[in-house]
Amino acid sequence: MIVVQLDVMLAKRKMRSKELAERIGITEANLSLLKSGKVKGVRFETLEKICAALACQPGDLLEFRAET
Amino acid sequence: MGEVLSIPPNPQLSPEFDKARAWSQILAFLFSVGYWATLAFLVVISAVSVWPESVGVAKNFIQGITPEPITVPIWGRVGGLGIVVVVFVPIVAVFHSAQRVFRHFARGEVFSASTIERIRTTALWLIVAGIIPPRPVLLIVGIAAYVTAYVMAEARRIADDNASII
Repeated sequence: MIVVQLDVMLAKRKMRSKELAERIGITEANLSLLKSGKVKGVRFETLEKICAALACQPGDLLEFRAET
Repeated sequence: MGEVLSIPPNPQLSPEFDKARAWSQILAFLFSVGYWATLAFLVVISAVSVWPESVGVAKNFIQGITPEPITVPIWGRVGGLGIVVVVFVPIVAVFHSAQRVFRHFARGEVFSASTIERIRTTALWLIVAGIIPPRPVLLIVGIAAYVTAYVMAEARRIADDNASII
């Protein structure tokens, strides 16, 4: 399964969800869904904006964990 | 008819869509009239077929079209009623489903799950009405409506998928 590590990266950058949502131009509700992994996918465009805002790589935000 | 057209405009929708909603409201009204008229006809013809003595107008109503029902034995009346029911029930169902489809459209619900389900139901009844008795036009329209409902359901599924991609 793919685990979204957005919370971890936000904490590392000391950035609030609201600020990130404003910077990348999505709603806080959608950002919350993304953080909790309750979405079917992430557009490259959104991923690119998040990476730019948090100065990180896509691999820092997404992690693969084998199902047990 | 003024009441039929009294749809409050929705500022989020285009004026063209408001026109479509008004037309849908008119069609819903016409299908509703068709539904009640066919249902009333079915009830009257059933009463006349099974119990002609009870309906004062029965003799004049069908005189010259069918034999006087009072002279037909009960099994013949029930058989005739069965044929009438088999032929007319799908028509009643088509009118009922169609008026509900257009009421959904009039409310601005085009791709909702319930609207698509209604279109599918209408299509199935059209197919039944086109098979008993054989009426190719109804059958073709029914199949076309069923395929349309299927395409709409797929479009909705794709839209739902897209909505859950951020």
